[in-house]
Amino acid sequence: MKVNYWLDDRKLEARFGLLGSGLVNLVILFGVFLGLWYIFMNPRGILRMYTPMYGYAYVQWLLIGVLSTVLIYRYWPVSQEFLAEKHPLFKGLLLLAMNLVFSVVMVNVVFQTIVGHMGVSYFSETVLESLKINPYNSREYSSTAALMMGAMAALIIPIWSLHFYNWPEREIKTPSGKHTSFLLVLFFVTIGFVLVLHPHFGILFYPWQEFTAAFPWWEKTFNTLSGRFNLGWMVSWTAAIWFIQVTYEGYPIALVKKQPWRAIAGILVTFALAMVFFFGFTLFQEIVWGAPMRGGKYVLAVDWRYLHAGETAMFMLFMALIHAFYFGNWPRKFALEVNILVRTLIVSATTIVFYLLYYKYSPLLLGTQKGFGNPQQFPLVVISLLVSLLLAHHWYFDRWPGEKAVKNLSD
Amino acid sequence: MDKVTRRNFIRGMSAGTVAGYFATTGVASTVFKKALTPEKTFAKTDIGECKSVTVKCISETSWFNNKVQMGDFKRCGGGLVRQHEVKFTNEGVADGYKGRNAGGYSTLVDIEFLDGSHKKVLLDTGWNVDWMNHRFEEEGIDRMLRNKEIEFLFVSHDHYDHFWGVEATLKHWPDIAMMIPNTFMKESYELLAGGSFPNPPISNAVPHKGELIKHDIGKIYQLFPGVVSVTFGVPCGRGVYGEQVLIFNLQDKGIATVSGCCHMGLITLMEYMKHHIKGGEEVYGVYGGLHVSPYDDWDPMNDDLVLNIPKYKVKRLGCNHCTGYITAEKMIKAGIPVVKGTGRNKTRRDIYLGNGDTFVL
Repeated sequence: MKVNYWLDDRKLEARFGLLGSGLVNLVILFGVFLGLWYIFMNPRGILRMYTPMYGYAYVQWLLIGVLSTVLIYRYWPVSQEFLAEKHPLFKGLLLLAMNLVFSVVMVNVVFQTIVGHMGVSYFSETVLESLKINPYNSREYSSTAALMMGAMAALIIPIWSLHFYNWPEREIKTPSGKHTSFLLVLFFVTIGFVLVLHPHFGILFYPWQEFTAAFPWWEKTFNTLSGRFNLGWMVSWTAAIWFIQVTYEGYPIALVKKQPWRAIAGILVTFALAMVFFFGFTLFQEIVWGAPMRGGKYVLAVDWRYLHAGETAMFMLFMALIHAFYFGNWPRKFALEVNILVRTLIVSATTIVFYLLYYKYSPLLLGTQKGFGNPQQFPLVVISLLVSLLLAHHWYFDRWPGEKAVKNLSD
Repeated sequence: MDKVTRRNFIRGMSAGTVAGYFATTGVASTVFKKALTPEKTFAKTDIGECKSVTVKCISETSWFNNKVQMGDFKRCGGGLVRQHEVKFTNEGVADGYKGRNAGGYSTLVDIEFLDGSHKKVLLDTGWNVDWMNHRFEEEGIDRMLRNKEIEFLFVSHDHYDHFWGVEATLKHWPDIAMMIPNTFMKESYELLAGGSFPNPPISNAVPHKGELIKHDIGKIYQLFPGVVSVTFGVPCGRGVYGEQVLIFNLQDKGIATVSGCCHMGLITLMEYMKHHIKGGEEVYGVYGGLHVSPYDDWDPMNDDLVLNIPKYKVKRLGCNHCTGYITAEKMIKAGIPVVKGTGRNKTRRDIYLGNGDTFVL
């Protein structure tokens, strides 16, 4: 069997009808998630890595592993024939294991060991501890640095893949093209990190490290010194990119094919929707909880409001992905504009339901604490793990067992 | 789908930009925002007046070594692990009390009323019973409890370092009335009834037999003329939820507050007083842990707090405990009137009020 590109060639068929298969997959997704959460994250579970940043760093880089495998490397080094022939469970577990190894290598070797010891101290737990930062915060700070780098990567990878056509991977057919794309992504990730997140770390220590990091440039306009402001708009942008790609089927950006117009349109349109999410969700919070206060805590903190706008956008993204992958992005039968409108309403409604259920039941199911705003917990960890598993289920496991691949397409 | 033309694309972009503006910036910052987020008006409570408040810091050193304490939390799985599951380091801590890292937080509040009479309230009862026995003895709290000179034990919240030393109070007066937030963990009730927990380890050999008064979140409870308590629904970490504070209206001075950890945040507390307490527009004094950098860790959001406090024009600020030394240094640099202490009785520095220091409001 000759397969050009597995994702283009594969055809999946629902085993139990669209709704039945979707529900089966949904139950399995949440079951696997809860099992993994209990083993690795739950503060009442086994490894208790939801401290929260320690576990978050690994989850974020697991997500980057999944995104890179498909969007940058197009499954390399796994062959397309292997993907077409092997059982979804086998190949899925293999690819996921590879991503897990990638995550551990990035966090423990690249950031904690190499970058932390030879470049930027706050990436290393042991270096921070040697500088008299307490053991707990040493791990949290270094993990935060790694995950924020990962958050920037989660934003750049889809932009590069979808709107820059993963240049130069498509022109260079050897693995060198994929490596070049990946290194270009890392280059922009590093630039982005230095501009928007490094200043946060400059004032994370006492005294402020003003010789090595610029003062947070967003302070005057956005009334906070915290880099959580940046994390908020970044994840809102990430959510917007996927929302347009999946729920809107790429419209209207897909209309523009030629470069550099496609890249420009891709950046502008997705950023515009990101701002709708970011400021819209900030406004919703103000309606519910009143105006935030600088220096306030929990739901009243200015920085947390921005972060929570991003968190809410990610809740929405997760619902959009479930709707698209498990329930066929219904409806498809009307004009595109009508389809988009109906899908937006469905995703918005399910986001509200999921949001309310999350905050009601997460203390029971995930071992978190009651309440919305709390610096000790990050719903982004939960959503990032769920999205990683959902993408893996869709890309690696062919949505097994709810669906099955119809073979011999390319024979 | 229609083929894209430059004209169509520009039209689409223009429409999208206008729609986006009204969906976000337009709504969020102009005409619609005012309609959607009208300014709220609050009913203010007149709490009467008292003359003065004298605060005696019995113990602000909840633990003696930050590194050991944070090592314990790192090993157990972080700040969301329930406090009764944590295995604390109980031996070999050179700068601890008899090798233990546990200390505790406790404050004696002496209220002077307009007629010159006084009433005393014990705010919190610490953690390490041995340490609290020692401090109670040094400051005469044991005698006051035996003589029933204290009106009640006011437990700000049931965090280990504020509540687990309850035996040190009950051994002198098992019938003492206690005021607690109505959000106590079930394990806290068990400890109060004489329970024990093996991991920390912690126990209470003297079950409480007195009145237990529970305060609901959000209600103002008048305790004495010029003295109220308010409970905030706030996640404190380690399974604890809710903290209550004391608020005073001091004659000719203004509003003051005494807290345990101030988990709700000082800004939130001052905003609450501004909106709900008559005279709360200006805050005369603050005392307590302010929960900013308890382990001398830092976060830029704490700078947001420090930079905003001067706007409230607090006249006197007595802090310690979970405020953290870094915060105190930054507050002093920002011009906030932080009251100095004497740095004795195992309080490491004199930058803020420490064990045995007195603060008059």
